[in-house]
Amino acid sequence: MTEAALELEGLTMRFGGLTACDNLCLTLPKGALMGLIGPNGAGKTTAFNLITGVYPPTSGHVKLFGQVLEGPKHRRAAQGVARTFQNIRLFKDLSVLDNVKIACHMRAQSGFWAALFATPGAKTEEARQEKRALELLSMLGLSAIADCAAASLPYGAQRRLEIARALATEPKVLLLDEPAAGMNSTETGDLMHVIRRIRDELGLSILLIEHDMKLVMENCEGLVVLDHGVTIARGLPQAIQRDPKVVEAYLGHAWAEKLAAEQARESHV
Amino acid sequence: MKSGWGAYAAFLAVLVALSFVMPSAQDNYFARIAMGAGVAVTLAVSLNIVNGFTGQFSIGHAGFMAIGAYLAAAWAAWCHAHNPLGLLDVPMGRHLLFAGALLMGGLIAAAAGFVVGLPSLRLRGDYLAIATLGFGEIIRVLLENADSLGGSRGFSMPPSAISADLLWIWGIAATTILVAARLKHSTEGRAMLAVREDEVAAEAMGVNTTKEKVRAFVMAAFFAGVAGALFAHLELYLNPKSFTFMRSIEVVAMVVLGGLGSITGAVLAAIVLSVLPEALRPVQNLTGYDLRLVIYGLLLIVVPMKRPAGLFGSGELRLFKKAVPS
Repeated sequence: MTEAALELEGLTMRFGGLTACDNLCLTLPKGALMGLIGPNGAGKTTAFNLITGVYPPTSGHVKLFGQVLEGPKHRRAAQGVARTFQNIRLFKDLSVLDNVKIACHMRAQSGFWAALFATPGAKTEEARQEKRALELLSMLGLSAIADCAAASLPYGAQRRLEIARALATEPKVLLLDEPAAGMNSTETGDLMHVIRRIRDELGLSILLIEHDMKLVMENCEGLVVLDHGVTIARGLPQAIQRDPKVVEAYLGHAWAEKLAAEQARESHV
Repeated sequence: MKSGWGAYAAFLAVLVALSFVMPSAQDNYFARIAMGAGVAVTLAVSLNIVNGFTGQFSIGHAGFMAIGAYLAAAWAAWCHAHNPLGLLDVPMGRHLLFAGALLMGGLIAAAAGFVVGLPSLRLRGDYLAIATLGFGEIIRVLLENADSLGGSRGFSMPPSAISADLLWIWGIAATTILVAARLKHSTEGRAMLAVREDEVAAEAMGVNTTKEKVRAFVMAAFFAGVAGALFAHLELYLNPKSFTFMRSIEVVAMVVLGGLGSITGAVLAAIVLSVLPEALRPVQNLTGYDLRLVIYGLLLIVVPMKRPAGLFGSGELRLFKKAVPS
């Protein structure tokens, strides 16, 4: 069995009376591309927020390659977890290039005083960040607009820039929160191609939240389905598609019964 | 990538030449205005590091300035009484003691910045503004009640204290600009800008936002302290009333007018706003009324209306961009 990149063990988050995430267990194997799906309000983004340290969990913990992930958000990023945001959070007034360079900051090899005295070290660091940022931009097809303000980009490009920025932190695990939201099918296809490519080239393990079922079913190697914070199903995409609990969560009880009847009929034949 | 040393050295050379060519410029009316503007530039460029780069709204800058000013004054008084190493008897020695005053004023103000910054930077927006305002007022009230520093009567610098000249004041202003510009175009400065743009995203990208905010606060306080020490040696008389809330607001106005985050903007706005009241004197002579502050006020209304992001947005003049690493 391959090494586990990310393990969520009994992750629970209560906001007052609401349990947004209930005893979530998930293992993301190294190099895998897994999906976390569920209807709106299922607790998917809450799970991401727990992993990245936005909230401290009520109970449970997260392990990254066997090490417990804890501490403030920026330190978790340094340990190797990067994310994108569902409601795009770019550094809007800064250039595309600077957006990516900022994510290189925590791995910088020269500091504050070096910058003030413009030492050779600071110049080397500046050149290193520039080179790295341009590489990532070209990987995501954003090279031509490197000097534009992030806010001026079309929606799809903003989502790709979020990925480029997350990659600049040199993560081991990448969390993508609805990377294809608002994209048309061509854009989505291109995006998935890029995501698979970065996974293979950079040796990443990716956990992905997405509502586009075609994308999820075609690309994810494993799925975990949440509803009202509870894990209702897990397994291969083909099995999930026909899981009555999943159908019920998405389409309601009537559809689930219909599906169950269909399945019963099929097994008769 | 350029370090900006060239432009900096050239500017200093001009200042040195000027102080040799016109040694009496010190007493000149225009030189006085230029020196006041130099102190304002130092204040505005330093406050821009907090309000412009990290986007935290501080309105307590006068407090840090007061700390630097009174420390320089106390130091000058101590030197006058003790004449350390006989330095007061040599002209270079006096300059050395003055340099010490600038450095200490800056460092003590920076220490105050750290002490104030660490707890108050947990606050956001309006709440941080109120906390920094409170800090500034506390410093002023303490000074008004400190009899050993003259209290509300004020404090006169001893006769042995040197007068700050154009070289000193604009040399420090240029240094502040150089430091701010290098910061802005370095990895550290971009981390500060990230805090301004989106704190949540900055943290997720590994930026230690608390560290960046405190660092910005301490740096700004340092240069405000230095500016205060310069101010003490420029005016040669200190009064707590020089460091009221209005002084802080004046500096905030310069930063906002110039464009939050723009060093060029802060410099120009500081020069314009400190020269304007003098430049408008002919208007007063013409109309018979003192309309200077009315025009000043109108400027503060019209510029933000016409250019909501300030004169320069958060960008720089081309000339400046080339002079600093980018």
